[in-house]
Amino acid sequence: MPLVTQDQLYALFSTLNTWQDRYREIIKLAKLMPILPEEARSIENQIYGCENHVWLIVEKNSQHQLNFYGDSEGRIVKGLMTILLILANGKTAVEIAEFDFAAVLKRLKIIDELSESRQLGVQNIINKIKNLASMN
Amino acid sequence: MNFDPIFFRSQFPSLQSEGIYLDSAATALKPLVMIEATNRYYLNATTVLRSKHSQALALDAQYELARVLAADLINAPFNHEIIWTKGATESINLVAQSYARNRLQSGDEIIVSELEHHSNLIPWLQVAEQTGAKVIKWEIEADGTLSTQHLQLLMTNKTRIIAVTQMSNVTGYQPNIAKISQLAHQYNAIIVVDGAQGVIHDAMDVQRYDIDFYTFSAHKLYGPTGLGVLYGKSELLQQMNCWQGGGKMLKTTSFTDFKPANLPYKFEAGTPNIAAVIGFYAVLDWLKTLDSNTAERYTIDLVRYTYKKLCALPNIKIHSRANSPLLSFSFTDIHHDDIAILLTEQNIAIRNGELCAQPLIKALNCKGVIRASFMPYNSQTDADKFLFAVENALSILK
Ligand SMILES: Cc1ncc(COP(=O)(O)O)c(C=O)c1O
Repeated sequence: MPLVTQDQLYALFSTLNTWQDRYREIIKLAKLMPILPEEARSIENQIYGCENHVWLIVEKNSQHQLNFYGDSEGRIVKGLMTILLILANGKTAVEIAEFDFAAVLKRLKIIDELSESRQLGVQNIINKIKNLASMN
Repeated sequence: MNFDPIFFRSQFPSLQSEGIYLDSAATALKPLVMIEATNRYYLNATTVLRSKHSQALALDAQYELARVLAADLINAPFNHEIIWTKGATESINLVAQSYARNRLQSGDEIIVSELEHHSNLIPWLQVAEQTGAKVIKWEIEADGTLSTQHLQLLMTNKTRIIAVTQMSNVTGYQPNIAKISQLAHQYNAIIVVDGAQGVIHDAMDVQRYDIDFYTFSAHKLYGPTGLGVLYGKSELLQQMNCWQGGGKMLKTTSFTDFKPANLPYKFEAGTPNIAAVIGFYAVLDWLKTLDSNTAERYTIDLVRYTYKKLCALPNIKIHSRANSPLLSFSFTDIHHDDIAILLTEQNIAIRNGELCAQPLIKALNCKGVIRASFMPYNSQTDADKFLFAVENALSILK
């Protein structure tokens, strides 16, 4: 995944004033994430509770840093996941367990805008990231 | 009787908020009469418990009158053929377990149409597994319809049950129930009709179409949640085993056996959902004042208007019938979830995905649909705001 940092995300979103623009940016961010190969789009890697198929896998390097790869059929969910993975990637399992993803989304003004059921969907992805991290 | 859209709309308190509600096929909004009746019931509940005074008696009368009104709605010959259930889902499970399970033998066949909601498929798969019977798929044609000629080819001397919807919750298509019923009986099979969507737009005449079992949920017909109707022909209901065991469904019992109560009570174990029945009574009574034909025509016109405008959008595929109250569509180049998120963002309540009809969605060759469903309380403004929101979504996703 390209090197976008948390601070760059803040800078990027701070210039966006309308919800339409924020969504356009989320969709643009989705393009940063490579498409998962077919074999990774398996039932085991799927996240449930979403209206479209969402997959997530993780790799660990020798420094115990985790790298996530995710994909989704829908572009908006994929974009939201890209943001979450920008935040998660390169962290260790302990760091991820302690990280407050929702707080960042709030500061980016993303989370409050989503409907309740979508917020649940995002929470599902956050839970899955934390869950995968704790198992690795 | 006449239908005044503005007056009709004014009877739905939840429409006073600014959102646009186009998800009535999932559940209808509630008219004030229903909310007030339920409210009154709960407010007075303590008095009723304390005494047998007139209010309690009035409530009892209303409870049984609700059954009469439900029977009238679908032209059932006898009030005791109306069984209160939790909803369409429970009704179909009841038929599968209390009727089919004891009768089906290994190799018997249940024909289920490809249009069905999961609640008119899974109960049959379950009873097939229990009995060794087979579920036979009645596929839709290329144009999304069900062909009775095709059905005739599937019928054998093993056919016992045909399960079919009165109206698809995805496409709004209404199969030819008269013809299907006739075929079923010609082969000594029974017909089970899922009226969950159909009842809202055109209540079934169960006598005219000679329906064996018919079901619907109150909540889609302006009524409360947790209540449904199962209609069954007396002679079938009489032969059937009880559904659940418990209080009130029996005449006498000991530690060795029990004697079931008469119809309909033998299928209504336990304390019933009184509040819902009272609320539904108010709805059924209120519906009598509605010119349903004109209201339906008004709704279909609204959908037609929206349908025409949607057709002009690039890469759109409309899966629903033009003359139905539902509008289901997808885009060949955009995932339905992306549209749905952006519509929700604009305060438009719609539904998207597989709509509890995975086999049908597969047959329609798409990943899922976006469904906007209309009722007579919707307005031209709703349609226009919806269309504007769709275009707005497309411009963001461009
Ligand atoms: C065609 C159809 N059948 C059955 C059902 C199930 O109804 P309920 O969930 O109220 O039991 C629905 C509801 O979505 C439906 O649309």
